[in-house]
Amino acid sequence: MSEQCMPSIEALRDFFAATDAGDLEDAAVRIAESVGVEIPPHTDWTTVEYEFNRLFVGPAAVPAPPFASAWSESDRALMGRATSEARQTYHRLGLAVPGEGVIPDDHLAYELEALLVLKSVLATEAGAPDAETAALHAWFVGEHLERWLPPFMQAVREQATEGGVVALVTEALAAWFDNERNSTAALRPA
Amino acid sequence: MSHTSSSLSRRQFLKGLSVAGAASLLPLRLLMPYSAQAATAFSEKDFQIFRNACPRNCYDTCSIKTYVKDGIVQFIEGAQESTFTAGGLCVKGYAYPRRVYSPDRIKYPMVQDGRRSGNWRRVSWDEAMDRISRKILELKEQDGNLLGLGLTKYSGNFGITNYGVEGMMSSLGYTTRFVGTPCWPAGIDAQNYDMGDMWCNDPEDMVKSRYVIIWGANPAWCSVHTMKYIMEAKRRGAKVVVIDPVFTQTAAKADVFWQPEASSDGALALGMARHILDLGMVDQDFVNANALGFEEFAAYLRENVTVEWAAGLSGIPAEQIREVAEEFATADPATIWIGYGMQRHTNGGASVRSVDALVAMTGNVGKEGGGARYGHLRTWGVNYHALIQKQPEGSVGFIGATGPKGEFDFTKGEAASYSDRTFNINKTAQGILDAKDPALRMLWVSCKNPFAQDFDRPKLEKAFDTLEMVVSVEQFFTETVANSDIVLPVTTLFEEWTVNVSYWHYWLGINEQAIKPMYETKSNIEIAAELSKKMNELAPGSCTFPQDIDTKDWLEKEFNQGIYDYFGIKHWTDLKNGPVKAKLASTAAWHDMTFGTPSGKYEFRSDLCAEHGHEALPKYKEGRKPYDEFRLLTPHTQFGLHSQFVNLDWMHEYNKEPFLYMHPDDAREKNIRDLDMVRVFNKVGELRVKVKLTRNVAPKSLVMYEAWFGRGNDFNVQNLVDDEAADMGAYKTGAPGVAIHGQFANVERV
Repeated sequence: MSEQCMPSIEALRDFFAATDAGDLEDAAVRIAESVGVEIPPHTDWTTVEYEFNRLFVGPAAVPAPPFASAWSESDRALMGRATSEARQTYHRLGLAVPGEGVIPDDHLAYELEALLVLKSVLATEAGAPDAETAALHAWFVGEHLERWLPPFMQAVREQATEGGVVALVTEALAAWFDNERNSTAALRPA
Repeated sequence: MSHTSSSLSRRQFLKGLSVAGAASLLPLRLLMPYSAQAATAFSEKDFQIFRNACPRNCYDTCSIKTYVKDGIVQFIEGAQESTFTAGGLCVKGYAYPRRVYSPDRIKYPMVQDGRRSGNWRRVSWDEAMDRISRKILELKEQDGNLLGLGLTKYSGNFGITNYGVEGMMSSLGYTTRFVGTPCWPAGIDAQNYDMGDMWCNDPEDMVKSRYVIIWGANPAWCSVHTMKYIMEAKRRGAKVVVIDPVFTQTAAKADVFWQPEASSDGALALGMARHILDLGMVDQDFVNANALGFEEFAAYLRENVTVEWAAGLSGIPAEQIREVAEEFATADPATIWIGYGMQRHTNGGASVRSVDALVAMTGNVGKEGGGARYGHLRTWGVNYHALIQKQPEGSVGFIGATGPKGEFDFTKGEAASYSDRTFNINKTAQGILDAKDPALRMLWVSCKNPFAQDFDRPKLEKAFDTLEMVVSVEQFFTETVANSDIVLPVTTLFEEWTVNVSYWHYWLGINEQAIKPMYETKSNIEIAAELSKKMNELAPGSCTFPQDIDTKDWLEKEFNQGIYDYFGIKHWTDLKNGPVKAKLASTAAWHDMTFGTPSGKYEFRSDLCAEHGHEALPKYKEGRKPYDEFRLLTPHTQFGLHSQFVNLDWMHEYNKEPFLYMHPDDAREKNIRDLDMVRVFNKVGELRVKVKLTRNVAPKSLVMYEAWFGRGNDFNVQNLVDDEAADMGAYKTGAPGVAIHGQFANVERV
């Protein structure tokens, strides 16, 4: 199961890390492939770019900031407790966001990549996963992501064009997360 | 207070405190106090502490201590070393971290495909600079000069190195500049005519005053740190008089509140002057030794002014005018704080001259605890290294005389035969529409939000339609950004090195870079360096701004021996220990009685003033005639500073939406009830807003606090304010001011 999800997570990561229409198209096509869905015909990728920026980037106020802190706590400010959690998680994996502090560590793209690393480590230990990594994985999905991804995705659903690429990607994200949650449920402390 | 969670909201913080305090209320026999916070008690050494300074257009220019942990600003507080800041900020200042870490912050350079379309794409800095540079070069080629490129910038960021924006313009060539100031120009000219400079006492000496008149200022909201000096003066026995068209929070602390007809202040001051003259309470020593033209002023008063006349125009009862005049004249020392609101009228300069005269004739000029307080620029003698840049060789510009570019124009004037073309910043829309040979084709906007702060918004929209390219440098998506083609993300005070002084107090503070610039933000001088790189790549020699800069290095370049001596420091790094106060010979302005006027004396009669088209004496000048049923006032709110702060989440908790404040008697006549939605309209435009009824505002007046709420809220008082000029301002600031409070409108329920 975990191997089948991998391309999807990378593509999701690349989608949310996109800076232009080209990046978005590249990632969206891969996401669509991995979930067996079609990109809506006649999709204008510049229009997708406009929507992506309107929802996630700016310059106007963004209805769906893709950062854990904006959703995990009682306010929308970034660089909150969730950012520290994400940063500590990366450090435990021997990783860090370049220029730590310049872009909040809890951006969805970084978190998805950390997940890739976690799953990769666990995959190589297939026969005997070390308890610590497994627990970290379970916590990251069941506590950290669980706190913010659902409300974030809900906001995107409400704001994104129905049937558009962003909506499609969000559904893929939701499906993947659901699956991930279920597969780590067993490892979460009761 | 626990700092383990940086996301502790204010409400949680308060809740935590009350629980912790509960145990101390009970008489305990067996249990001892235990604090869950003991293990994580606050310790300064857990934090990196930086020094910052609030660079806003505010009297108080607070010295800030910034607490950073893990590269994140956890919280800030006022510096204790400054007796003025005294460890506290204001409601706006405390919200600064909400600004840095707002998810709505502009993060990247972006371009809008089709102005106002709302369709934005990210671009790299390189691409942004490329687009901008090519446009500049196109202008240069087609017009033969760069007068088609304009800059509008004002007071959004007073960190000294931000004058690098003007420097950037100069480094490109001769360009069009919007000069002047919407803020305080009429009063500046008035004080220059009377005394030869705008120079106020150290506000900290107000404790020595025996009589304090706050005339058209609201420090309880707009200069909170000065309030403690006023309250101390009061505690020592001084009487405090507040004169304001609105019953403000400052007025609530006063002994006497006068609510005169707006713009009648000149008449009121002259009425008081006449009474003081009649009672023989003039300080003859002062007027004989240190003034020019008092006898002519006295004659003018006798022939033209009576207390009854002043009472009729102002609405203040004659016996009160007499009483306060006598008290003012006998108190020693007595002082008047002349607020900027008071001079935002067609007769603003004339009114300030009358109030200055009141202070002078009672011998209060040059006294500690006395003085006609307005502002000063004594501590602003830095190098302006960032500002002063040279035009490239062979630059062609405007030919003709130009005045100063604004009140902060510290350049010594142009020796070259060419100069920048200057337009009045207070008539920005008209300036853009009228510009020709060449037309204004491109605009750079920095430290300013024209759509919210310039006058006659409907006209501004039309003006922007004529511009080919608009570049905004911003932190948040203002209406100006919505009307731009390119937006460049700029740093906050925590992300740049600069130095700050105040136009009110006498402290100097360093602003250290506390955190790395977030996302792809750059400071204004870094942006200038980027532009220079690209310009010279495309056309070598087209921009002289240095391409490789270190903002810390540029901070250092602003200091000189004069500043070191004035502040008694050896080196700017001394400021890392906290802000430092100027070594003042006296806390009083003009203590040596050497005025900067042509005569070297206080000039009741100023021939220079007459030369410039005004009256030589501080004569009464009528205010603007009403052109609609209600007077419209749009003063400043405590929750924001123009377009800044009101859009932040913490501010929205206290200040969710705008209101129109109206007197209940007027509302009754219009069949308007509290919290109704109303339409305010006049010849400029209209806006819809909820109304709140209150007797704090005068009858027949409509009061709205100018602010930008952000998040799509289109409340904008500039839909109702036109660009009618104030009388003075051209002399010292390059353009006349605006009659911001000389506006009128009507209202109806919707």
